[in-house]
Amino acid sequence: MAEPTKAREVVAGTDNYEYGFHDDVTPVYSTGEGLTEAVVRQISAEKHEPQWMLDYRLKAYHTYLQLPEPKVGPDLSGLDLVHMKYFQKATDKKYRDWNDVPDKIKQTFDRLGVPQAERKYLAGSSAQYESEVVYHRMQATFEKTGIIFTDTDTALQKYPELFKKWFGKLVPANTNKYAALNCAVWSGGTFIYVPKGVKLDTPIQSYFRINAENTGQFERTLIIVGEGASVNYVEGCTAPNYDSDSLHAAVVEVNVLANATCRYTTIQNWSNNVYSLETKRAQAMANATMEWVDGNLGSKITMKYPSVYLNGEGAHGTMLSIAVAGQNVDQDTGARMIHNAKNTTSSIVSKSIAKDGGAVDYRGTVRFGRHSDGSFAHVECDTIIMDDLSTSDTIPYNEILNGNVSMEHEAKVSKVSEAQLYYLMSRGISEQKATEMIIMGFVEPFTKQLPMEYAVELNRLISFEMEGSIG
Amino acid sequence: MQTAQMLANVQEYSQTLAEPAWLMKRRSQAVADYARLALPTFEKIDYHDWPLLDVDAPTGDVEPGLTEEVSARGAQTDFFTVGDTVVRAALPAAVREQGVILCDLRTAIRKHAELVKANLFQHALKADTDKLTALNAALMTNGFFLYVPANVVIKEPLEIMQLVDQRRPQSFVQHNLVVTAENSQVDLVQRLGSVGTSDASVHMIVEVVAGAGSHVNFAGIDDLAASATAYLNRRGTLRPDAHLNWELAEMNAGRVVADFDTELRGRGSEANVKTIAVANQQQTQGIDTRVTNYGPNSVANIVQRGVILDDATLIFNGIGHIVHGAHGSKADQENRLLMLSSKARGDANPILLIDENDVEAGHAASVGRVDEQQMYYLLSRGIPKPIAQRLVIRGFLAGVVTELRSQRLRKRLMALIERRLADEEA
Repeated sequence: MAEPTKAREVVAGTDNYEYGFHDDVTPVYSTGEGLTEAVVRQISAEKHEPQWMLDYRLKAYHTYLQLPEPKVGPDLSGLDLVHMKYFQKATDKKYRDWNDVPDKIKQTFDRLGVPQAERKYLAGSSAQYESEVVYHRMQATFEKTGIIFTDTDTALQKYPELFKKWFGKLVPANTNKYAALNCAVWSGGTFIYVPKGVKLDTPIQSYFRINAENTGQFERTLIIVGEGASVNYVEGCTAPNYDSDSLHAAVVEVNVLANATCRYTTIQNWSNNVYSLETKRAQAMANATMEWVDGNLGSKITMKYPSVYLNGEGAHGTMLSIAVAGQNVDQDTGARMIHNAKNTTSSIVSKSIAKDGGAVDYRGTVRFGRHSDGSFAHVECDTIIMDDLSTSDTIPYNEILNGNVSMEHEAKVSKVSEAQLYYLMSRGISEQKATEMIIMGFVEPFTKQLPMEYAVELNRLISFEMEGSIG
Repeated sequence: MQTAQMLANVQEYSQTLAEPAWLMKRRSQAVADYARLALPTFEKIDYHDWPLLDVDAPTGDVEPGLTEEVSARGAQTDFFTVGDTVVRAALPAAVREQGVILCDLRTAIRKHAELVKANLFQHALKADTDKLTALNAALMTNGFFLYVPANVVIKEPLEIMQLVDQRRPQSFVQHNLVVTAENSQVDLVQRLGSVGTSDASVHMIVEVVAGAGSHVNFAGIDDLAASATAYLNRRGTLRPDAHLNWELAEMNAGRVVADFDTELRGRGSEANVKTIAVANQQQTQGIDTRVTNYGPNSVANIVQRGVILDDATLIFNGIGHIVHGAHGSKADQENRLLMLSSKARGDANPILLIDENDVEAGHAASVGRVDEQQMYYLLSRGIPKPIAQRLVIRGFLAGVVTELRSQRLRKRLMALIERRLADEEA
């Protein structure tokens, strides 16, 4: 665990969000403000896409226009879709050598610690800046195994058949309004294909950065983990502070084939002017394991309910998440576990903290279909409300269409335990420090699951979030 | 029913019964509200294509000619109605002498107009909440009225039986009102059932207005016929330090949407809601149980247990809501479903809405089969499987059954449960 006091010293005197800086990078290409059919065509033309993708985008665009705003969840009326820039390209090419990346962009990622992380412990890493990936690299030893790790635009050009086989299968455009928007204007994102039997334990990382104002980032990620293979993918997200809002509407599709394993870790730390409206779906085939590890620390509003469709016998799905919401932040998150096959198991553990008037809401579904004999689900939602201004809703749906399953669900909402505080303070620990220790203990099941470097970073971020939350 | 026709029917009915002007005015307003308002939505419960809104024009008629067999069903009760007809009113003299009132709503409107006017659709439930409450406010024909004066403690449970007259197809729209004044105590049993097997659209509302420091135990046993499609709404509002315990058994054979909602308005008030339900055959029962903590230091507990057989659907929504300002409050709930068939559907949705930090709120839900360890234990002692299974189910529902204070009612409820479970094997 990180040493919180030290972490505080490190960030002392900075603003409350340390990634809030921006650079003056002029995009080499931009579709400007607003979205029309012409903009969709421009994006596709700029990317030299095949006809079928243009047709797909146009169809999705019309679906987007027809679909209503989400019926439940936070108020999205503040989102300015008219003045948004839907496509901005920062560089003309994708770089494989960090030294070739344009200086200003390089500085940004240097400040975010991306290249250092790659050198230290990653098998591969990529960086997306606005709409497109500017850098990606896979270490040679891993590349030899036949793993494909590239940006999604490149994957469409280089692996057309593989791409077409899996793209859009789990998240069709009509899933929801913002998934439809992504289908129409998607750009960038990560494509990973792990061949049968290849096990990759060292993480692969993608880093998503929004730099300009009023930016829409429509990352599209597609992962296929072949039979008996495994992959550990980590993504991080930050953006500058602006008065106007940006939108990150990602679509992520993960296919975990028989006996394969995928762990997908997200540390979302957008600045408090980003709407993060994401659609993430995975399917797990026979005896496969899909694990979502999801940390939501930033953004203005997040709506994200990653799902696992347990489609093969013996498949296993998990969600381990934390959410921290401060002033003017609404973290509306959760998970969906859809048991469609025999002897499938799932587990959802959600930890939430609301402070300074923030809202943390859990919204989730566990569904046992007709053919889910012998399946089991476990759900745990714990929330701490730090002060008198903050709120939390817990809205789980449990739908059971099979008599031969079992499910357990538990949730708790409370303030920081007075008994624990009393215990620590009676041993001479300050209230601030004691509160921080309790919070760290509360989120430990989550941080424990992260690669060590991420755990340190996350503890530091949480410690930082907790600054000034006492008194 | 067209609005103009509905208004004419309501006014004619009100005149026939010589109702006071304020009531006719409220009914007329409710007709307008009915036309304007939407049906209430309950999570995951879709009842919009049910024939609930097929309601007859109200009449002041009383049903003639009850057979002895029907009359005998309410023989041991304190108050017994079939349709709108009062068959038996037998409040013990000792209770009556303390000022307790137990009568039908029509009588209450005549004899205790001020009490009715001050409480009917005023505190626990507003007539213009939704289309179904407005329908009730416009078209209600009768019901029971119970008033317990301040400081009066009624030791023996009061038992009320209401049978929906399904000897011929007709609708049933009734409103029941319970008002308990300061520091009074009452133990009340409401049994709702059917006579006959014709189709009926049933609208039944209960309002409990619990005065400061009063204690109310309200047991509701609903046992409507398969041909009845029912909307059951039980509401409570609690003043400071009032206690309201609901024990509700949904043993109906037909389609039911139930809205059980309690508001802890007063500081230190407490509500315990225990619901059991058995759903079988093609039946759908959707039960929405909500407790809202408004008052500081208020306590809410919800326990729901359901057994689902055959092709039936049972939906439990439990909602614990703590509003801002309800410092030191607690909200706890538990929803458990036992699935006895692979063709059944069960939903257990335990929802917490928390707008306050100085609280303890929690929920638990589970869905499962008959406990294998318990079965194994019983089978290993030579108990045949069907009996062992029955025993485990009995244990599962026992938490609510044992809450009933009257042994006779406990037996009655167990018999009802046994009958519902036996239906499956038939």
